[in-house]
Amino acid sequence: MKNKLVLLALIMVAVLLFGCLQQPQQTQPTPTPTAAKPAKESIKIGFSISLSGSGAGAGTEQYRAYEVWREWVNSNGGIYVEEYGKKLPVEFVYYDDASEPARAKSLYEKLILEDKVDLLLAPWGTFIHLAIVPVIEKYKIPVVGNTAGVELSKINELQTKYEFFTYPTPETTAMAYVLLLENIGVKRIAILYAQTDFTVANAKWNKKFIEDRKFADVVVYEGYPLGSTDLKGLLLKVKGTDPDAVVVHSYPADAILVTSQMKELDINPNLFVLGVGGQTLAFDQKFDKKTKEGIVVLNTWHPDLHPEAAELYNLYLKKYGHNPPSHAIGLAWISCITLQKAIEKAGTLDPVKIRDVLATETFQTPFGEVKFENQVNVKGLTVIDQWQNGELKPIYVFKGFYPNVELAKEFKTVEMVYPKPSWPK
Amino acid sequence: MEISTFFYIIFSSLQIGLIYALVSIGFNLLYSSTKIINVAYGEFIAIGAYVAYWLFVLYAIPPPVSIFVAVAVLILISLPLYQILLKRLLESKSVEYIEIWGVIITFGLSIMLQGFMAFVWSAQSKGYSYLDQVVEIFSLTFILNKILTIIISAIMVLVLYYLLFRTDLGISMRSVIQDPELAETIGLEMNKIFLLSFLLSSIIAGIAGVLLSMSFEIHPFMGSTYLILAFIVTAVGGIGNPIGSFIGGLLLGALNVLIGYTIGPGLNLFIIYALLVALLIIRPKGLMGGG
Repeated sequence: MKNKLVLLALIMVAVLLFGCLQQPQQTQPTPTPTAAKPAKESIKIGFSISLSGSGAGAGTEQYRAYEVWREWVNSNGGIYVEEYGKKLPVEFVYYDDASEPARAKSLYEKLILEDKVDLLLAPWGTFIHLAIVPVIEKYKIPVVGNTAGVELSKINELQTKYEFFTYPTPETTAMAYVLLLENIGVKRIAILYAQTDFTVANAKWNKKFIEDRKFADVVVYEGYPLGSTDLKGLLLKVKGTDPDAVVVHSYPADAILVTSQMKELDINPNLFVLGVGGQTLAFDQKFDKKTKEGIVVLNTWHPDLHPEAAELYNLYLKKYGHNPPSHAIGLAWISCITLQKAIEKAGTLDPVKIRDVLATETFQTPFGEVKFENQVNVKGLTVIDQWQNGELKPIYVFKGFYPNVELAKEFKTVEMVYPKPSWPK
Repeated sequence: MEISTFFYIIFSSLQIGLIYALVSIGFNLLYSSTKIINVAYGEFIAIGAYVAYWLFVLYAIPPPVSIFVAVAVLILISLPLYQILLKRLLESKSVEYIEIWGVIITFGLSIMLQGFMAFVWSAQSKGYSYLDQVVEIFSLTFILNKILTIIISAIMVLVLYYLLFRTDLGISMRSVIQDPELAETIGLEMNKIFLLSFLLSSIIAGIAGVLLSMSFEIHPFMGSTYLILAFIVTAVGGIGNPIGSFIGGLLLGALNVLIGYTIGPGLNLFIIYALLVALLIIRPKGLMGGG
């Protein structure tokens, strides 16, 4: 009996501790008066984010980018809201959704109903973005999405009016990839992809465009489970086909795995392209300068392309230390600044009015223009980076929206290292 | 199939199989001797990985040396955890009671350790580059840290074999695994053996963590992947038999590589789980689990 009581007590402590993790975490604007609530002292923005679970790595980067934006905005006095006739500092209320869509969905409902936030920011990841759509539609609060790459047909199926997608759709990014491949002149392409909605869609469109344009053969087209601990069997198959380009629509963990095992098996294509994950801190730390040299990765921004974005990036580096300019960071800022501009243009915190502004206006951001048509940003950039001398450098920038994707020549990029040097020995 | 591909398949199977085996042996050993399914086993692996990461990044201490520090850290963590969380539980005579509460307690522990690691080191993935050079042997290429992983895993498996089959302590542990009631009747100190099993299991997890940190990204939630692996390998190899873990690990390693090479890794999990189910229908205690 005594044993049982002790165990029961321990379980209760564990449950309480777990419960504590679910308490809302609030970041106060600096400095905030604590007097009785007047008309409006701050803008309360809520979100759930993946601080644990499978998306914790990228989710943490996204959260940090949110924090940097909040501090940056507040250091300038906040966001000007005409109906209050003053700048209001931003206050966050956020929860860890443990990378679980169902949990995120209920947390967004909680943010709206219990925490009574004024507005919302996006969670991490495509599948969680999609999970919260019914909630934001029901309560009519817009979310400017960021780390979500969803096919046009699926966006249309959603019939959403409140979710806005800033990330180029897979059709658009795949077309940018294909323009790159065609421009370089590769002839034998191996396409590998992690089995997630986002990466499967990218790979599918990638293959389709290559076949449509008939400039190369797809010699391997294979998916692999997310969280794989070994891909050597698949890579041996790739090695056997001797491709001159290997394109991997990856996620963070498998970007490291594929690179490491490509190197181990001495697979040396002229072009090696990674999706998201090839620009994370872990990837940067994992491989030395010579190993990374020439690896091409997909992105949506680069501080060298937009000097104003460099200001935010420098703040990030100052606060959190070294981090390559990963897609999660840039996308987070694109969505935050778009929301900020929409609030300023709407002159109100009324979510429906802000939604209407988002749906109709064009926004100038430090990352270029943002313009939503049928909920999708048609001005988004697809930036192709390459590891050169230990740093991530932009080599190609594509603009436009499927099917009108074209090279954005107005951006100054660096010359591509091609062919990719062999793995160092 | 080219001869080089054949050798790559053999080498890769061995490399992955040995690490699977090592990960699983510690898990299997603890369950076999105490009936505790340690859901926090993966977090012990993550702690080992973080020890290697921080020692390398802050003090340039190479992972083979970090193994000793990881062992010390895991002992320091495991001792109080055993005394506070598990000792009283293991005084129970009911296997079901130990199994159920063992899962609940270690599940809570797993979440707390994940939360602690995320709080202290952040959830952002980390990595480091150690012995990442490619070497060519008989016109086949290998990465040095992978060869090191194979060597250390093989040494560990041999050491564990010696410990369990050639020492008094190991014989006592195996007696408890095979017939706990008899072991207690002949006067074995059960509590001491339970404690040593827990420590040994934690140490193995820590060493596996150090080895894995050389190849994979490190984050507070990395353990869940390896916990599932440990489950599968233990179920295939046989509960209660560390040798079974060794064989199960090699088998799954080889399957992983072969499925990837032939059918493609997309069906990897499906085939492995289907085979697992089929095996458990034919031999419910796994390949080497007796019965």
